[in-house]
Amino acid sequence: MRSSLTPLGPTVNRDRIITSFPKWYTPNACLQLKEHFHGQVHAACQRGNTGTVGLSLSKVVVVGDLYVGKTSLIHRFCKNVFDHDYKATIGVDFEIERFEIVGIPYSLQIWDTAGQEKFKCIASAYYRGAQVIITAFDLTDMQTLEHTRQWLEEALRENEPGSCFVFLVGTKKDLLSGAACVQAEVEAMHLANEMQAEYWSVSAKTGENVKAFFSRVAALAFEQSVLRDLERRSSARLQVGNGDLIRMEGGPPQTPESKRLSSLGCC
Amino acid sequence: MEEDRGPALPAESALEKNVAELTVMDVYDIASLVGHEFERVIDQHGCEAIARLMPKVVRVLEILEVLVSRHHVAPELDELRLELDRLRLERMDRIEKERKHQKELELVEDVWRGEAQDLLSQIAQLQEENKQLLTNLSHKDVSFSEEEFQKHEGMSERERQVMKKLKEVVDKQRDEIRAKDRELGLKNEDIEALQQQQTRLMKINHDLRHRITVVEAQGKSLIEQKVELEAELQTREQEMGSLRAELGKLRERLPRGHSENGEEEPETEPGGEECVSEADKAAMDPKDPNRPRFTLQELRDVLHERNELKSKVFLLQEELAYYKSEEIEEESRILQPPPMAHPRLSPQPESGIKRLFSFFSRDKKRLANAQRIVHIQESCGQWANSHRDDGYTEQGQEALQHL
Repeated sequence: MRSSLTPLGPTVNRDRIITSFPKWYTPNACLQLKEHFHGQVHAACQRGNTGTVGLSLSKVVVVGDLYVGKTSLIHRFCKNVFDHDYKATIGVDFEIERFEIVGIPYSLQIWDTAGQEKFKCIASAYYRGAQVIITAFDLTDMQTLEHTRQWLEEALRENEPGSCFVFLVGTKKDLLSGAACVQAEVEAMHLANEMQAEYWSVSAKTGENVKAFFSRVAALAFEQSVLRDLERRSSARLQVGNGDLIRMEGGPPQTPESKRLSSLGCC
Repeated sequence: MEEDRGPALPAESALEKNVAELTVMDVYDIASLVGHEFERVIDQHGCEAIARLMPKVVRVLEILEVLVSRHHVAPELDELRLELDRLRLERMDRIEKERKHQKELELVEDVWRGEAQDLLSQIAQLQEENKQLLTNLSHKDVSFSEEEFQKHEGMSERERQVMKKLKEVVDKQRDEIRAKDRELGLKNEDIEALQQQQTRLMKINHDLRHRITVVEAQGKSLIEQKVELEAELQTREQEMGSLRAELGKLRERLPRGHSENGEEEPETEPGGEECVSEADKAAMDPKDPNRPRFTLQELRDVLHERNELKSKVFLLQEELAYYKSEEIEEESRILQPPPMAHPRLSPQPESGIKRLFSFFSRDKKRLANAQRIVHIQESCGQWANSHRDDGYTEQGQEALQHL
């Protein structure tokens, strides 16, 4: 079953193949500094022992004030287009992006939420079960940076504490340059550290850092998924007598039924 | 000195002695006396006076000495002769005694011989008797005791065999008992393990039952809600119908000035709103073409529908891309050697054999693709009903495990 997944290669765009761990944007505000995949993850991928990770979708939720460019950012990444006209997102929208990370297919489901206050009650219903939360703000509007706290709090409220990766993304980088940009970034990084988030500056208009950013998101989410899967499987194996306890003469020590029973017991 | 002191007395005693008792020593004494006398004569008359006499005297004395010495041997001989006689007598006595002893011995011997003869005869008699008895005994043995003896021996041997057998049986049984004990221990362990498993299963069962009851309760409440909602809907529809009828009447009565209103009302405007609240009516200008028309629930439903449709589009796009790539791949395979890096550049019709061979790999791919699609549909199902998330993922995981 696992080996049959590999022929799906053509469906993954060559741009979405990740073989080495993508680097952070700035070491001053990042989630982890290492430049390689976790040894266990790498080994599991080499053996093709990644369980159901290759089949699952990891949920990414993008939140932030209206008109900061959440939709533009996603569209730049997923469709490689940029629309100069503003069109408010109604409720929520989503895109699915396929990756191939260290030879394992992996998908991100990127949820684009409406920034308008009136849609909050609809959009917030989609926060649950996120593996990655991206809080976006406008680099040219410091007010939007200040609002990211509130957005993050609301998004985290719907999720298990500590289960999400948080990113803080400053958009419209093309509109700033020099000292103003540095100033804004310093402030944003400060907040990112406070929120335990990784900071990125991007521009949907020019496409600067967009691909790198989402690759980073995908790699981190993927690594976490694989590690969780390995942990779950190892703990499931340890739990509940899996037939090892009893060795009747003449009968095989482990039958598929007993295994299924043990897997039932873990839930 | 001797001559000076003693010559007077021994010489004189020697001269006065009996002739028979004279000894050589006496002769010497006499000689010394004679010498003394000669010395006196010499002193008086000189040497010439006895010169002639002296050798003769010496000669006489020498003869005397010889004679005296001869005479002295004779008495020793006599003594010896006497001793000899005595010894002869003694010997005679002893011989006689020996003879007597021998006689006595002979007598004793005779007595002993007689006794020995008696004893020998007795022995012979006894031997004969013994022989007789032995023969008697042997006769009897042949008849009786031998059989008994044999019987006795046979019994003991049989007993020994029985004992051996019994011992073997005991040993075997001991071994068996030990084996059974061991088996018993193992069985006990098994039982314990089974009991543990049973308790675990019971626990799981209990949990599952609990869950089922909860789910059932939820289902019941949902059904009830649904029924209620349906009833409500029906009443609303009835209300709406009556209101519409009223509206139609009102419109007929009103002059036909509100032409826009007439266009919109039948489509979307909920008729109830007008009557239900005056405040709402005031807030929303019915003439504003951009005024809100959808309720929150309607918007949610629309979004949900949109999401579902979008996910379907995604899947269809993927499928399409997959089949396209497959086609291209197959086509590219015909172009030998296949440049795998640029499969899109080689579109060519495929041969029947190729199609046959590609069948296997295509089947595999299709299966994998189908799995992905199934999973995506599952995850799409989660969007609207976020409260059912856990159930869906669980099911999905289990389904995947079974695959």
